Amino acid sequence: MNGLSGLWERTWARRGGFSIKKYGLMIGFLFIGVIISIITPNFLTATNLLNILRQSSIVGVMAIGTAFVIIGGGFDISVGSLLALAAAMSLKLQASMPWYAAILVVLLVGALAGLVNGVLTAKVHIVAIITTLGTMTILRGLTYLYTGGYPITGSSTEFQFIGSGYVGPIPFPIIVFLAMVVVWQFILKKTTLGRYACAVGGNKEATRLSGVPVDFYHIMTFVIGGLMAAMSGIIYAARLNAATPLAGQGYELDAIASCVIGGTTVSGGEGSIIGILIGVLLLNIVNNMFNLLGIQVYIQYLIKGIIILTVVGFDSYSRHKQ
Amino acid sequence: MTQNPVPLLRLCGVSKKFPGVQALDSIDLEIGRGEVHALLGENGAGKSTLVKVVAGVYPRDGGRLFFDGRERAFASPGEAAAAGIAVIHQETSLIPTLTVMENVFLGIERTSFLNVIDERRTREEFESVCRRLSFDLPPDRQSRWLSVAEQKMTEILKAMVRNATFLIMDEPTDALSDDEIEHLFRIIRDLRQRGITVLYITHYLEEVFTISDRITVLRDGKKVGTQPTAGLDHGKVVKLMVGQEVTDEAASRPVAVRGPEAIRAERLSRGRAVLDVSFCAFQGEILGITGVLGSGKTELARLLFGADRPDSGNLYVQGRPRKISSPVDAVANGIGMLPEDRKRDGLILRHEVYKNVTIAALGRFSGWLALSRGRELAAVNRVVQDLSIKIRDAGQAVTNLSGGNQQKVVIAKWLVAEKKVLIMDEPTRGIDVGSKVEIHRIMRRLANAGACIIFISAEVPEIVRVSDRILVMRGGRIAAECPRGTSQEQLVTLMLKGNGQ
Repeated sequence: MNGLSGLWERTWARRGGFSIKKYGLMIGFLFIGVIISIITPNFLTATNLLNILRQSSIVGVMAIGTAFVIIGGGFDISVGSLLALAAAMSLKLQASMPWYAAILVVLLVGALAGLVNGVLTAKVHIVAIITTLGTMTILRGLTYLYTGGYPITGSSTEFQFIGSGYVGPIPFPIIVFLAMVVVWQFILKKTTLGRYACAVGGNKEATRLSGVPVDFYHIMTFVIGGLMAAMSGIIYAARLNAATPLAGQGYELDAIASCVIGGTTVSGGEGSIIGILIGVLLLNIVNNMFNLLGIQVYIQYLIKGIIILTVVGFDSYSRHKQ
Repeated sequence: MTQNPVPLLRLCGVSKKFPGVQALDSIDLEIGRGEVHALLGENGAGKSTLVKVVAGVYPRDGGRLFFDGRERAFASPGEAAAAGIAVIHQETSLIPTLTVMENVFLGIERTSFLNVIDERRTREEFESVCRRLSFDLPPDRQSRWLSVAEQKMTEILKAMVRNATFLIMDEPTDALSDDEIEHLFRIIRDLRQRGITVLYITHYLEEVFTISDRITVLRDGKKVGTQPTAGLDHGKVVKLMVGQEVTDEAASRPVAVRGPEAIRAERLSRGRAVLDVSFCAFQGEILGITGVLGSGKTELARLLFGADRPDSGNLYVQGRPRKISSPVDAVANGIGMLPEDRKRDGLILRHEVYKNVTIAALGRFSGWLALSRGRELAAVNRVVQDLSIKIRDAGQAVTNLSGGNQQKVVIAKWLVAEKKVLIMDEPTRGIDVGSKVEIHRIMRRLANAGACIIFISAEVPEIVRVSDRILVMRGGRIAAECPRGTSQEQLVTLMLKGNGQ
């Protein structure tokens, strides 16, 4: 607990007035975590915790990209469909090329899908949620066309290692996720790309009038969103060794929820990648608790929706009050 | 003119204070029934505050307001409207996607059973009011397709349908052609015939003499006087507006050492806002550009910075022809800008001071991989000290700073970016007097250090005080170039000469 909240403190210490609220939210969730671990049998076992982490890694990787999009002032609900296409392609392409080449192609396709989202939003000026609503449908349709509507299975053992392998006692997807968190947190906080992404989301016109090529950076946030969604699709396919055209449905909501619980502001301009780690974990802890306690899966939808509305409502209302 | 001896509107000692500014200082004013009363004053004299107090937008701090013989305290624009006060703003308040008729009856829809809009009754009433006022407006056209003149007429119609007896018109002739202005004047005279009272606010003196019965002049939140128009002329009005010249520090200042040419515009044009503008600015000087609202000075600033693109014309930076089609180009060519609305366009309010300061030169603080926070903070702290920006620390959000300090952060941004040409659009707007003087001093220091400052302001006193040379814009063109030491009176006269032309 201490390490986690210390990490949180370091991330948020410089945030001034806003930190208190998010901090409070954070504490609330940690509180839930403690209660869950007390009332739920088998929660605090190493297997269960690693299980939660592994479940979290697919949505977590996707959420990193989503966070960039939201920080840049956009919104991306096409990533769930993109995951399905990426998963299907990464398996089917292996029939005609080695697994690493397939991965490369899939990542490129993801970045390309993001580029399309970005150009439609930044250059054609379609509102981001409508842009990605459109591409969400298109990508899902492409997945059906590509798979013919049937699940795709089978891949090389090297490829399966990405989803199911272990390094020592730790599942490989967790390592990928943690590595991505570190890399993208660094990019967000320490590079010009990250700074400009925040600036564009914070005030695009002021940033433009500072001589920054804002459209480029706005588009880049979507490219990152697509890239990370494709990566999550690869992990998904490698984990299940199968991909259905229905894969990833609703993942975009989990990704968005992970971001906002982790302290990314829906109106853009600020956010944290490390926060996602916490956000996605808490989301999965709640799910896991319901599973262990044998509560209906449908309830989980209600809870997720309420969590998003609570977090976003809190943030938006206090911003409006100002 | 006034049959009823009780004036329609009477203000007794009305005051309004904003933080740091006494916007209205004990104003006494009487406006008679059926008169056209002109309200004049320079920018910041208190005209719009007065209007907002009368129309219930701001509560007044002190004094009494009588409307139609009764003492009133309008708590909201709605209450003022219900009493018969209508304001026609400079910018249209029509809803573009609604038709003319829908706009006119917005909020007072004529309905029948179950709140269903009674189309027939609405149309009949619309047509009868139109006939009465001899207006020819298309009832079913969306208001976004109307000309500016038709929009004004629609707003007048809207006021008449609400039985307004007092019409406040803020700069109604802006963006109207000469014919349309003539038409508007005929309408105003006709309204006067019908006993409607009009408070007419404008920058253009000619119009005042054509249309008004009496004139009230405000200066620095105080009423200077109310006089019948017939007894006044241009010269007298300008004298009232400007008042006594303050000590002339401009003339006593040593002549600025003018460096090489910094930026030159040749026949720049964009739409109707900027027409055929040519001028040259030099390193080491402060070039003032002034003009009333809508004269094209802000639009010119945006052209110079590439925020908008010119339809035609050329720009030269340091003597070389340059195509500046975006702010990226401008910054690459050594030009920086302080936008008119610093909160909307100049700052990322929620972000920290240091991020706002380094954004225009971020590349300088980045190694091959990462930004160096240490180098950033060092540069920021240096410039914060240099401009004496009052902040707790560089990690504080800009939104919590005072207006003056926020503006200094924007200046700091361009200092860090080391730009040779700085375009400052209304840099002291909404800033308290102390910080204003400080910003003027900073501008002079930058110019002395060799920067070229293009200083855009509608406030004549500060333009006169700070500039080495002054361009006066009118109707999108440069109407005159004035040397240092030009009096405020001369400048105001140049600024106000007629609309259009």
